Amino acid sequence: MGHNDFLSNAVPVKVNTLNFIPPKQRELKKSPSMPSFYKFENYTKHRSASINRSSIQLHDTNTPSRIPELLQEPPVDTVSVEDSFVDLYIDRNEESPVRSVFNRASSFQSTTLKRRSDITDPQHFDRYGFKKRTQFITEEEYDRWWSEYSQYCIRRKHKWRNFLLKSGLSLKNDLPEKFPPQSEKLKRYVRKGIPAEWRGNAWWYFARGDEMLNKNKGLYSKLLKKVEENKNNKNIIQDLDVIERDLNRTFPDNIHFYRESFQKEEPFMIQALRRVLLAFSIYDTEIGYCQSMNFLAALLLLFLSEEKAFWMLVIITKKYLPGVHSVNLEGVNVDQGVLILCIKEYLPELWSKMEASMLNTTGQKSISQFEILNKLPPMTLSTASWFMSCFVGVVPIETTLRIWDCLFYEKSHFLFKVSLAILKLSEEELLERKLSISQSILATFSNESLEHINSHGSGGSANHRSRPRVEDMTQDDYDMLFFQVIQTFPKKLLNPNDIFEKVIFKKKMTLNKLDQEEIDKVRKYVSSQRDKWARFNKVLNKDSSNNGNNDPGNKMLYKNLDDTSSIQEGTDNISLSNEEVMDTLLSEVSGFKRISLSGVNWNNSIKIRVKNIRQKK
Amino acid sequence: MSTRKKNILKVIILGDSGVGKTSLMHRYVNNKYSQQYKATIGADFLTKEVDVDDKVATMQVWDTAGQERFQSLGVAFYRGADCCVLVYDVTNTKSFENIKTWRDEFLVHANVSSPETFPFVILGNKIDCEENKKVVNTKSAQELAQSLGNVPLFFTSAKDAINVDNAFEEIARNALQQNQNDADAFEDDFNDAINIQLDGEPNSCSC
Repeated sequence: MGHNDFLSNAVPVKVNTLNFIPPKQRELKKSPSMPSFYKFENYTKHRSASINRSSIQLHDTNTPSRIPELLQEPPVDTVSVEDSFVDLYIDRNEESPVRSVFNRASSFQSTTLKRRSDITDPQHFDRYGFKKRTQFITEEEYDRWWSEYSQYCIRRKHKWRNFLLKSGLSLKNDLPEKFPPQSEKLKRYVRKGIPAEWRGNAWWYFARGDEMLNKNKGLYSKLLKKVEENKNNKNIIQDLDVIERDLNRTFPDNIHFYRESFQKEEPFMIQALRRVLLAFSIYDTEIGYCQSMNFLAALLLLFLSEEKAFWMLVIITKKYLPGVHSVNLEGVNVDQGVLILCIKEYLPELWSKMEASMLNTTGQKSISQFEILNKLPPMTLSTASWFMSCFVGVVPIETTLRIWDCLFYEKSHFLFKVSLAILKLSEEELLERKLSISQSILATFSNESLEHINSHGSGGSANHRSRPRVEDMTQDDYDMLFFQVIQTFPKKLLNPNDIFEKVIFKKKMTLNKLDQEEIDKVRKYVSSQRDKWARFNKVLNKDSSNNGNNDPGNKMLYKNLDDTSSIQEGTDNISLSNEEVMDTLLSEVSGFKRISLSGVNWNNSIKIRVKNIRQKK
Repeated sequence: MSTRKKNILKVIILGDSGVGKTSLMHRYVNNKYSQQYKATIGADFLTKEVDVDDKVATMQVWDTAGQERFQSLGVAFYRGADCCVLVYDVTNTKSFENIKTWRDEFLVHANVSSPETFPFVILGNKIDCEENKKVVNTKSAQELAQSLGNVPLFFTSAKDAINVDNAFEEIARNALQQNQNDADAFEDDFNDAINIQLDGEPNSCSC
């Protein structure tokens, strides 16, 4: 098999892996809904000089100096590093039961899939089929990093093997199905990364997938049948169009999901993704389909069988991120409120900048926590996607996978922890960029165009700019920069260990004290605060409409809470029942372990305002 | 109301999922097009320096998620916008029908000083597609644009770079105008509060 075979019908995608075999072969026979589209063969059997391989060639680096641990601690079984190369190709001929449901009438097998070599040259793709180069990372950068990280992965895998064997667990076919009981050691191992080819099993195990599947045996097939029977019925499958539009916009940079314009048949993964999302949309009608679930499902499909991917999607949306994908996205708002409180608690420096930014945007002198939780700062537009898609597409893929390892083992609080870690790291970037921007502002000052602004511009800023200093960067400049950094910095986090070693493993960093219990409590707190806001809003809305005021309720409320003066002026429009006021003022603590006074503070500030209103009456 | 008087123009792109908001933004800002854009979650923004009628400004283009439910996330950042771009796909009737909804939704949340004069621009995107796929006809688009208060309308293709620059020039011009109107209004209303930063001639702007 040479390079020419690459263009022939089997569409082999040579991926140099460290035993990465998605999804596991053994399951093919066991699970009826397993997509049997992968076939693996020993790379060495077919290797020929003409094959264009990735620049990382493990067998070339299998020398004492390059992989010391590999030689010091020889592999437990006899699999050599060279054996671990696999050919991975999409097998168009195997018919799985699931596929037959969908393709009875289709010309599925009649089309030969061909891919252009320049697009699919395996050298440009990573071990999961993603293009190495992104908008923010060059292929050279990737290769340079991978040459080290791949060694790290090998070392970790040997450690995992020993750990599992010592725990008396089976490593049959190099695909363990059970993992050791929870312990600090296991947590550390998970944080250092689960071997890629074990990930599907490990995630499934830690998230208790079997429990879910056993409770719902056969349900996925039934859902698929219902989908098939109603595939054109938008009354039953309401999200049909939205799902369809997102299929090709999920992993367009992944070889398993990418469709060339000349290909008649869509990639099998796209079909699987469609089935999982459609089935989910009729399974959980409260959620239906929410953009971002496409990313979750697609990543799951790379590591698990279709049926398991479906149930994992159910587990993520129900257990790990409750309400986050629901129609009103209230779960997102709650989690973003929690994140903001976490920033306030654990990254006070960053918080003070964010607070200044919020004050700038609203033009207020102070802002209460109550308002912050209900009028989330713009940054949360970006960070909301971190949670909704669990970092898929937010950080580079190896980093995403390391986060997923911890998510399934440590539950949702890890998403908060890693968000704080990323924000912490981005502070440095922010500082650097701030400096360079300030310098460029200085530089632009000699520019005629700015003088032009000086003469035509409106007031403050022009005046401000006539005395350029580094500190002169305005709040607007800073806000823009801040959002830009939040948006782009994570995309450059190629090396997962940057997050783990610089932050997560630093025990002294207070943010590492954050745990699940704390997150659960703060979630409850934020949720109840938002409920109150909504009720408060309702009361004000009712009163203002009684007075013939056509302002939409929330606008009215914003106005009134924005500055105290308008509350006083608008006294006539507001009447609150005793019950409502007491309810609103009910004191609660935010749920952080270190008892924060902030909860009391906002209560007091509202209390004073309401008191003022009543006195006026 | 924002205290920003700097020439930062905040432009928000709204429209149904898949109409080409991300593509239009990238075409305008980077003059690039890719088949490989992913569905936008939350919002992204890019900036571009613009030079309209001899005025220089930084345009902040905000690209948003199109799925309806994401509107509940966007509320906070609609505020302070200087222009709102409404995009539909000429091959998708529903996306055209939703233009008015997007506009209304924006006005509810943006808290603009005078909704009647707030600048919108409508873009009918994907005109590069085959003729028989175009389902929204030009006339109904023009009628809609007129009924919403003579909103400027452009037929664009992010893919083939048709009319994108023209459209954004109009967007920039409208945004700049709005920005200055707002700044003037702000200064009139709150002259005292910001006096420290003013040179004593709050209405000296010559726009």
